[in-house]
Amino acid sequence: MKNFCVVVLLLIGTTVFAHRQPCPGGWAIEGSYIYLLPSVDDTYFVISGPEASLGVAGTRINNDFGFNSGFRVGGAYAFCTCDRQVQGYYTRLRAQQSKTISGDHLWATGVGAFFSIPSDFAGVASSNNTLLYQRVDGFLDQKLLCCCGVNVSVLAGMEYSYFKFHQEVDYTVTNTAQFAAANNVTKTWGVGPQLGVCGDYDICKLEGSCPGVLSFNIFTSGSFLASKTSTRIGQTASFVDINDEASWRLITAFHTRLGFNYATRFSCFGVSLEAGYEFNTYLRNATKLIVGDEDVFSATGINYYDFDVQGLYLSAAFIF
Amino acid sequence: MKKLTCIFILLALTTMAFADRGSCCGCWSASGSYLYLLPSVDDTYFVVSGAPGSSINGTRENNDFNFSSGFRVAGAYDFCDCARTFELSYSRLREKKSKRVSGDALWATVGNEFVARSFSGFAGIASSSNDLLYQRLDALFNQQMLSCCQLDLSFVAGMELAYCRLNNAVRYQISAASFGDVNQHSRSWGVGPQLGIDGEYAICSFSDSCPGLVSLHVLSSGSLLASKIRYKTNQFTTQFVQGDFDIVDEGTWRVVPVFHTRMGLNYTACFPCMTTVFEIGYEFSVYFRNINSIVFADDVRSVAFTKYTDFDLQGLYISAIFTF
Repeated sequence: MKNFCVVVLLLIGTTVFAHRQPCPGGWAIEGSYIYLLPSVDDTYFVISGPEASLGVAGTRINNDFGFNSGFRVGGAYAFCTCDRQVQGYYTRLRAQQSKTISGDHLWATGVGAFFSIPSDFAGVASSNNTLLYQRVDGFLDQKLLCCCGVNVSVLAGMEYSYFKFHQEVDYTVTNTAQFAAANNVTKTWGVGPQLGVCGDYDICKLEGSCPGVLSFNIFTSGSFLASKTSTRIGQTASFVDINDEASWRLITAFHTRLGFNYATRFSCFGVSLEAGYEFNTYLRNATKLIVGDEDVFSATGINYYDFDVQGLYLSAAFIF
Repeated sequence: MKKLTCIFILLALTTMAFADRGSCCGCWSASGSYLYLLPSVDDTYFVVSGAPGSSINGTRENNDFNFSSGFRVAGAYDFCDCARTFELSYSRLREKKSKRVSGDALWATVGNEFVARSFSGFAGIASSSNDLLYQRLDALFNQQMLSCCQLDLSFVAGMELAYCRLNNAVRYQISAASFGDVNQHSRSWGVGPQLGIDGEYAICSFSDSCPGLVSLHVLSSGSLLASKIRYKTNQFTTQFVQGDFDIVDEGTWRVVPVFHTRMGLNYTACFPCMTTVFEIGYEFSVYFRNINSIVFADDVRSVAFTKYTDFDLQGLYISAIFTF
């Protein structure tokens, strides 16, 4: 059902970033299937060693995300004068990633500094990460340059983004009742101005049974988001359950995408297809509460981590 | 001597491809730049050096890098129509820096708590060695957007590939039989789109014995790099072997934002068979949170979190260009 929705979006959408944009007074709608790799810094959870060691020796295992499916939908309206458009988009990505490691020599690196388990234990360590990313963009697009097959526009508008990351870790010692669990939840939403540039370059015109234009597209933008962040940490073994008061911060975000676009026109509407790769980064967007000492539970600090998203996108479009 | 010879050859053979004062239709150009850059990596402190006593009271010593020599070579082609140029450039910088501090009261600041306990207020030697390798490949299209009133403004778009490797080795030594070593190796490489603006403003022209044009050149660009980051570290002490570690991180993918800016003065002279451009200026590059390391939180040996630090470069460049 989920995949069907994606296909429907692909069928009804329009690649607004394609240089074949709506004519003055015209509308366009866009749908994109996105296949993205989110990354949140420091998702390591255990060190797994091959053999007994006086110290700690092994590989620090990372439960980082794989590629996940999401979507983006949008629309555009071209004003009748001045090569100007207004555009709006909504993007959503949900990701979940689990990893379980068993071994005879494991060292917990989890969320805090204290656990009710031995340092070098035989057992199972597992990590489960879930992430939700949503974003709304609104742009005014003003064409600046149109010559020699190159179109360049400047974009100005707003971005709203929402990010929630939940990290759970569990450690179980074999043949004993010893276990430890911890979880960290961070939520950030922000809104702020966004400025960018987009451009396309006509590579060639195709003739024959399927006439159209093949072009190379590029889009880049940056935002300053007035953001509110909240963090919570819980540890079963140490009875720690701390809820941070939310705080306001300014987060810098950058977005870039580049792709190939094929645009054609039928009698009453235009169709545009695009495939490419995109990059997004939110600097110091995620937070993690660090409990720094096994004896003084309140000695805590916050680490600020980046949230990045990169991956493929496929867009389809109708232009009226 | 070898370095100087290389620099001279580069200067003599090449052309400053970013400067469009030397461009012409259907022409090729080659450029070479001598770079004298100051790399900086966050937190290269390694020991507190002070006076004997019960409390820590002293200066935290930093083994940060100095200015060092590197180079950039580039080739460019000017298309005949539409004021468009394609340029490929390669930059490289290698820097090693060592620092040694001796004293009667030294406190170790690198490694986990077992190192800090073993080497707390000791009389001896602390040494740090940092080894950095930075390489970068840029492929950029330059499209002129504006040319009027002595001002040329171009839009730059392309790709960047960057590689950065940092090795850090620290030793705390009380005697030949009593010491502690901490080693860290961080590597990252990334590739991604690069966009920017290239501008040039003609200041004045000369028409006497050495005719030419002096102009101000500014190039600014930004990239988002899909980067793979790897890290490994180990620690060995003669005091607390049970506190030692040897850890290899699984590699991780991240998006690293990068900014580059350079500004300089260039002089363009036209000879009968070629155009020559010389440029001198200052450049800045920053790779956000490009290098990582492990920070140990406590005497629970395995409990650690990852710290991400920026990698920056700034310094002088001198370029020479020939356009054929």
